[in-house]
Amino acid sequence: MTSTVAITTIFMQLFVKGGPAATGLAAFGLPNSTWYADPGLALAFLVIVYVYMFVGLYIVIFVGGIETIPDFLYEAASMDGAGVLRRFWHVTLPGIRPFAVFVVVAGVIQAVQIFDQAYVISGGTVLGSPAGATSTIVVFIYQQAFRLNALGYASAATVVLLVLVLVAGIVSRRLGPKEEDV
Amino acid sequence: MSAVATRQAAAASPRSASGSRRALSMIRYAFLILFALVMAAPLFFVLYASLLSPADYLSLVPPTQLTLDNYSYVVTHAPIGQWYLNTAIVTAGVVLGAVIVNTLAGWALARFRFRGRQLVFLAIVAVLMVPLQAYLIPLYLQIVDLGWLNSYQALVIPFLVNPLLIFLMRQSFSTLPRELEEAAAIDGAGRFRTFLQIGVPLSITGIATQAILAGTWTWNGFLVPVTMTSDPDLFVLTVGLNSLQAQNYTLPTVQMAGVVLLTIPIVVMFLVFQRFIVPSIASSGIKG
Repeated sequence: MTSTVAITTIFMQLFVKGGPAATGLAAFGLPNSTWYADPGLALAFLVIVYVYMFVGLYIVIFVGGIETIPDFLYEAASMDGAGVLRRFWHVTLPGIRPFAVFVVVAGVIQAVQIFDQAYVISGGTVLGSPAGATSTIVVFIYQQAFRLNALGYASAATVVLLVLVLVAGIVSRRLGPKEEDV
Repeated sequence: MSAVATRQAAAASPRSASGSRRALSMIRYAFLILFALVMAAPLFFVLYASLLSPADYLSLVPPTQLTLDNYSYVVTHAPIGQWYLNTAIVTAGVVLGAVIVNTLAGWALARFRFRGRQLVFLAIVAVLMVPLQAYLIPLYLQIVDLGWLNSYQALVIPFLVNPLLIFLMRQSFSTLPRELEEAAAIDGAGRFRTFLQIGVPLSITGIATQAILAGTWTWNGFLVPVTMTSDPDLFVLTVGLNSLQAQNYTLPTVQMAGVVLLTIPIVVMFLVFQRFIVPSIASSGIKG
């Protein structure tokens, strides 16, 4: 619900060297460094922020999907002796398949368009910093168009982005839940 | 084979089965609680850190040592009142305008028969998939040509027409029974009156969904305002917070206070409109 800028600002303080999350994860062998300034970890940082922001939405979609599975399928499965794991594997998973496809494709479409997080962590310097580690496609387009004034080059990159999103969109319409299910 | 064995075991010792079920539900709750803690931790962190004096940052202090200094620092060092006002003006403009434009367009597509209607509808569905980033550059050039850089128009006018919202309203109107409109026509209502007194009241949830989506998109939007505005007096809150964050790089407590100030209105709005928002997410699969 909150803006990406706000969430990214919070997470930058959590994942700064000596910050709570960076220190906590250092206990598991990860380096205690400033994640968003470390070329090896900056992309992981973007992923963490993205997942944190969207996991709630995807859970809502999955809950909706699981509720569409009729109870009698579970009853029949347990009558046939299926345990919890087998009921999950053979009843729940096939039942939510269209929703899982939808989440995957919607996630791809949204993740391809990541921009705000990368802009915020660059702190107004070169976009995609550190060292191009967070130069996702939209960041690249923005850097070319509005910082380097290469509008034509940026437009070509935009066409590539458009093709990626259209392909993902077509896949989602083919495999995703029908409109009456959602 | 193993299934048979499990069933026999379950039949032989019902107590151990219920014991394992209890263990399972404990694991389930432990996992859920852990998950909830991980999700909530950053929010507690930001609230707590925003109340610390910079010297106490990242240490635990008694409640008496908490201070509101960071908030007064933000309020005195940044035109945050102006940012609130800008965000409110832009959001209100987009929500009001978008609701009017897209509702009318949806009604036209659902109810009027005109040449090329299918073509228009297909075009709208096709544009649904085009992300904002794909037309940012032409949009920017056009805004420059119009001389609208650093103006409210640049943040409002291009976002009044939205293919997704038109689609939403068209679907919502299409489900209404035509008999009601025919009855209205027989009672002498004109086309516009039918729309206003039959169509709109019956599709009020669709309109509310539209307002919520347009409102959260605009309030949280960053890419467009950061591209179209460079004058701090015209920043919206997200751009303002970003500049605040960049300027106070060494003052995390101040940044956290800025985050809280930015987020409070949206949280309040969420609590007020919650009973509309959850169905709107569930029905559209889209969040702001």
